[in-house]
Amino acid sequence: MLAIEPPRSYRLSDRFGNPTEEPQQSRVRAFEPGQAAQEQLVLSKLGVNGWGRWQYFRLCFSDGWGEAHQRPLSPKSQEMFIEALKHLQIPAGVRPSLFLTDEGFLEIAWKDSEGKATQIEFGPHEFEVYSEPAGEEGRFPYDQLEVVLNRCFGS
Amino acid sequence: MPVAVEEDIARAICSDKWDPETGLLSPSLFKGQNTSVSRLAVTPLDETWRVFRSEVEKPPERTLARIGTINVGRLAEVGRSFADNPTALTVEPDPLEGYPSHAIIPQKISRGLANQILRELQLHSELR
Repeated sequence: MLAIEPPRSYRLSDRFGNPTEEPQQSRVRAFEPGQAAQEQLVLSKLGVNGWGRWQYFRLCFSDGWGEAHQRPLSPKSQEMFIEALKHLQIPAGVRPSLFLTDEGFLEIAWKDSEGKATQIEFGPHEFEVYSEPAGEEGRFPYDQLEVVLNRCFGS
Repeated sequence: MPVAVEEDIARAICSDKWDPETGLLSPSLFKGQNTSVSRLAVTPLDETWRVFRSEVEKPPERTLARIGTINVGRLAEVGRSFADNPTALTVEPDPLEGYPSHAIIPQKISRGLANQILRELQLHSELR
């Protein structure tokens, strides 16, 4: 046994409870209808890393998660993120990533082989595209989602 | 009075804005208004790790992954030379209780400008 506790030993959050006790409610959650298809869509478009970050933001970021009480993941942002993935053609060879903004919005990002950046942020009412390869920067309402994504990233 | 151009500032980079697998940073690290930073002339980088861990990190959700630093004069230059919308960027002292090195970049930073700032950011890992 160590005489001195390591400086950054981790401690389970109280919310996780005691794992040795029987839970009062089952911790096994059933998938909602359509959930499996969403999981498969995110996996196929963003890979395991992007899927893992999506789970991280969905499951771990509760209200007031930052120093300025940043917002939890917006359900509307997540809904439009899933919708966009149905139309989005991510260029072959890039490694997409996923971020959570302070407002609780999901943001897909990648860089191409020349280091040029592309980002798409999903707000509640509109989405923002920044694409150096496509020379595009702007905010658009969601009724233009498919058109804009095809214009910027269509093959 | 704005922070002198000779000074360097630090920005906390947490797990929501940094992907260790791809090495990508989110521009939302700087996008927006009143971006919080820390003055290295007041709190040296080694000590800034401790400050950010107490002020910014919130495990298990949010963990401090890196610290990004940039010179104040270089930051101003990036803002001035941003072709789409030249922006006069400054750093204003905003000391907080127990956090005297706290400062803010008050100007509104667009996504395009935030991407330019990210390119100039020097990333630091904690030495253990």
